[in-house]
Amino acid sequence: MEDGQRRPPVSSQRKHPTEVPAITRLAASLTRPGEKQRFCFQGRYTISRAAGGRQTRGSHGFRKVERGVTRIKMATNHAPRRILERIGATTEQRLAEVGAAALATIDVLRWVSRGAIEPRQTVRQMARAGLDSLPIILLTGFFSGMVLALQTASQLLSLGNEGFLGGIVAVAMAREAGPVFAAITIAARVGSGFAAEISMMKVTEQVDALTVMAIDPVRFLVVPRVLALVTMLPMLVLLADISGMIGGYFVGLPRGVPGSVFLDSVRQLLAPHDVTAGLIKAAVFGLVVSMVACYKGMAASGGADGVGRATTRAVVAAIFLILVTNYFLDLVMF
Amino acid sequence: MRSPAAVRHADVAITGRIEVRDLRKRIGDKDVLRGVSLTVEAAETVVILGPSGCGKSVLLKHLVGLLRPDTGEVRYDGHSLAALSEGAMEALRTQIGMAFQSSALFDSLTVADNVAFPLHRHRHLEETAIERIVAEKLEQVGLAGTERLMPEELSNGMRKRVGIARALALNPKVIFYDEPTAGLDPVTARTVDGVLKRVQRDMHSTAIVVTHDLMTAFSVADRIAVMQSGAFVELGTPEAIEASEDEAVVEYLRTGVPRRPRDAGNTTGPEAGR
Repeated sequence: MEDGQRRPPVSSQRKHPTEVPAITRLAASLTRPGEKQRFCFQGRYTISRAAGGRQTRGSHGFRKVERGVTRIKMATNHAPRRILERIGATTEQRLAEVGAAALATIDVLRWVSRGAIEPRQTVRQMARAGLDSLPIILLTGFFSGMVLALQTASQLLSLGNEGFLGGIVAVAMAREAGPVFAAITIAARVGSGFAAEISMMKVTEQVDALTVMAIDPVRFLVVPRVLALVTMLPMLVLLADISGMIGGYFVGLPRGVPGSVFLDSVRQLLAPHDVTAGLIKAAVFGLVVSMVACYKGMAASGGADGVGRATTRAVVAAIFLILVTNYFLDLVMF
Repeated sequence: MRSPAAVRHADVAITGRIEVRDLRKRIGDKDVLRGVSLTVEAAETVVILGPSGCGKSVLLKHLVGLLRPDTGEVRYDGHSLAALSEGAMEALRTQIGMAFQSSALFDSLTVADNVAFPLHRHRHLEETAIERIVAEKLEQVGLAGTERLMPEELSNGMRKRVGIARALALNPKVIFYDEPTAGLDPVTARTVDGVLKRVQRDMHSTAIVVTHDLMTAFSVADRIAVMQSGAFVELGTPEAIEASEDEAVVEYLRTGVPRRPRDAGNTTGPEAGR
């Protein structure tokens, strides 16, 4: 305090750091120099008043004090507000994204319903997404089937019910393991590719170039990829199911489950509905993976960094959505 | 002027006259365009000159309908972009071409397929006819015989020229060039200037060139618009721009490139292009 004078009102002071909210400035005007003011929303601020250009140290770090200027500095104690703000902002952003992705899906369906399909692009994507993924899908299915058999065989053997092994493996593969594992594998393998490719085209202006050449990028880039995955994923899942059952068969043999018993139990326990429901799930997962990947790709911005981010986000979001959709589809179908 | 009701496909035939009226756009919390107005006559070449980040690329995106303005409008021969139906917009876009800053070639296609891409999509022609057009367009940008190359095998300057050839494929009435010489060495940049001039001479189409390169501006322009912070500060013939006393223009001309840009552009441009 200079010469014990009363501090002039804040409005007449020369300047305030711009990041200080108005409510805080108002509060500052009501606060005597050196006092600490606590606000439930704004965190803590220390109001310091000039005294010959000294620096005073408050409880929240340094305050730079200049002659005749009140400096208000935000203390760090506003974490709760930040967390809430961040949650709010993230939620809002996610909801907006879900909305935009839904609109994009409608756009795709609109093109498909009009029959505006690019046959060459679609076949190319089907080959890439389907045929090229076959080996990994068969292996994934095979090992999932083996693990299912391994885990259930020991339980069943201890109960003397080894006759059920084939059926249990088959039903588990057809309903859950086949579609979910295949979809996750495809999300990682094909979804990442879609996102990387489209985001690269986006950041190098190729998507804009398509638009300016009067070619709708959704029709040309997204629709073929969506169609490819929606049709190919069920086929891959069917093969993964079979591959899983073969895996289970071989795990059962050395554990005292003869091949004929295994197959009989498959025939008895596996209903057509298990398989068709699994394939319907696969088609939905195909839609989810391709839409998420293409959407994230289309939304990319920046350079190589943007491509990387889009790809990672696409895979993470796709896998998460596969699991969420899986739950709701199970609720409806089984 | 047309009513704002959706204009149908068949109605859209343009001569290349473009009117831009009081275009404003806010992106995030930045006013990127702050009331841009411009009338470009058919077959005229207008250069939009300005420093990076002044909003010229955003303006270009508005002109081709990649972005929609907050207020204001863009009209092609009286057709407002905002009033066009999807089909009409498509019809209009087959009459414009754009050469992108990053050239935006499709990596998976050869040079020939890149140039032929719009032809395959919009013209129902025999394969031989398409090949002939592709060869002609590549010749026009000085790249005859490069049909079989992949974009990755091309230098930056060649990629830009293939981008221009692709933009020319449908014989557009309006051609937009986004930074045609950005990222090129001075010699290659003058070659591209030469290509631009040659294309303008041969095609008689309207051209809008966005650039920060003074040499390009003064060598190809009929009129130059100097843009700063989202608005035009000066618009006129190259002579008028050079004589301008506007502080921003003087500053830009003085600092952009060594003096006498016009002479340099006029003497080296066309030769280098041949």
